Amino acid sequence: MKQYALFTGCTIKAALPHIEMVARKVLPLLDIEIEELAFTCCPNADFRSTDEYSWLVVAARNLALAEKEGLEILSLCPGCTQTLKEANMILKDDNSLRARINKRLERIGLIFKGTTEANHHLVILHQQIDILIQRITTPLYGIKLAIHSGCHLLMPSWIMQFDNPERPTKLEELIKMLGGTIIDYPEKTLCCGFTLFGSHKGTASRIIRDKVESAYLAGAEAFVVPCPSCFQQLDRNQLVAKRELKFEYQLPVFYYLQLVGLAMGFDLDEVGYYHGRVRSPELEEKIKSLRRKEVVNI
Amino acid sequence: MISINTELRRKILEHNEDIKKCYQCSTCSASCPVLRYDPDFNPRILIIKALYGSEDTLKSKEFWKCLSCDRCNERCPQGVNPYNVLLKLKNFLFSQNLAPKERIDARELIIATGFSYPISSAVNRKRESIELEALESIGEELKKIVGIEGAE
Repeated sequence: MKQYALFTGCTIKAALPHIEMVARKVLPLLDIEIEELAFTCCPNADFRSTDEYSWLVVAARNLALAEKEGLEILSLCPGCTQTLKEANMILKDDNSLRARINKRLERIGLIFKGTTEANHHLVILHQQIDILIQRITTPLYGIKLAIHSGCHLLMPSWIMQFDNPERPTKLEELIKMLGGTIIDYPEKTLCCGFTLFGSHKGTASRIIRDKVESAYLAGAEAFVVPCPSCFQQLDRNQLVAKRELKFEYQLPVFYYLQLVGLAMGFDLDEVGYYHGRVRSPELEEKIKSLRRKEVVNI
Repeated sequence: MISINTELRRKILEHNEDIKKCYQCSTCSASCPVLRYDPDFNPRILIIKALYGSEDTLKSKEFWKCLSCDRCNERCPQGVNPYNVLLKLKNFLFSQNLAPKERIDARELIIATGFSYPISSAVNRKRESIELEALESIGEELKKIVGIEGAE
């Protein structure tokens, strides 16, 4: 068992707690022990757009908390991962900036030394893929999945250092391990448009429509995402876009760890599927019948 | 006629000399998911205006539409990092009290509570219904450490 500090992130904590639930269920079964620390918002890109210096200070506080416990950070959100990785890199590289930021942290009895790393859980799971393979009991044979890697798991690549942002393949490998079928589709690398949904709903809706249409027409039965913002955009907001733009098709969304849970033998309820807004009765039946076949084989 | 704001120009160039390398090739614009759907948002034009320190830029609400997807940073052949240039512009506007109210409110929420989402009783009921601990405000420490550089 390796220990990590779990960085859940605000979106999952407040808006998608079922993803936190599935992470707490599944990660320990993959030999990952998780510790809870008093992390705040990472902080996000909106916060950075007001004042980069405070953005660095708050990120440094989060990193310093993990350092104090001697733990690396395992994150559930690509946005949080990007903030923490970028801030870590900036502060490790710039001695004078680090000294100034540490003056701020001194006020609350913390210090940033640069001794921890932050990674998205997909990066960590990909490094221990043999453990993942051993735990699979109910492979997702025949389930047709459209991958949406999103932006910040991959970019900027010199900070994220995980996969090729133009032709990502790592999430694909991780899904093939679970037995799922990958459906390639033309709009695979299009950003989900989440941050425009609040202020420019029309633009965001058209992005959603193009993504869903592209994956649906390619034959996908569901999306799989590594990101809570993409999850919200392609789940709850998909229904809004569908109403506004009157398209016919719809695709449910899985967060990657939900699929891991299904492949490890949990049922749809146990992985929080019914907390999603977009449903597909056909796909639900298909997943249930996979499980029945398993029982017959035994 | 373009009017130049020299303070803005200085701020933009301060930590970002690379912007001078922009040769207006439009790779950022061709890669931008916002521009694809909304032609009013054009990173190439925002960059040239920023480089001049054009007053125009400050009046434009366009750059708040950026999705922060980082695709322009990834593809820029000159290392200009257009996304980071937009960040500098936004930071400048914030320091001049010209940022949109929703950005300021979002910032204040994080500083006050530690979270970017309001922690309502509905949120905590939902968490408790799936056996997760309720969230509590943890912003106290942040109030002691945030604030723009130099304003100690």
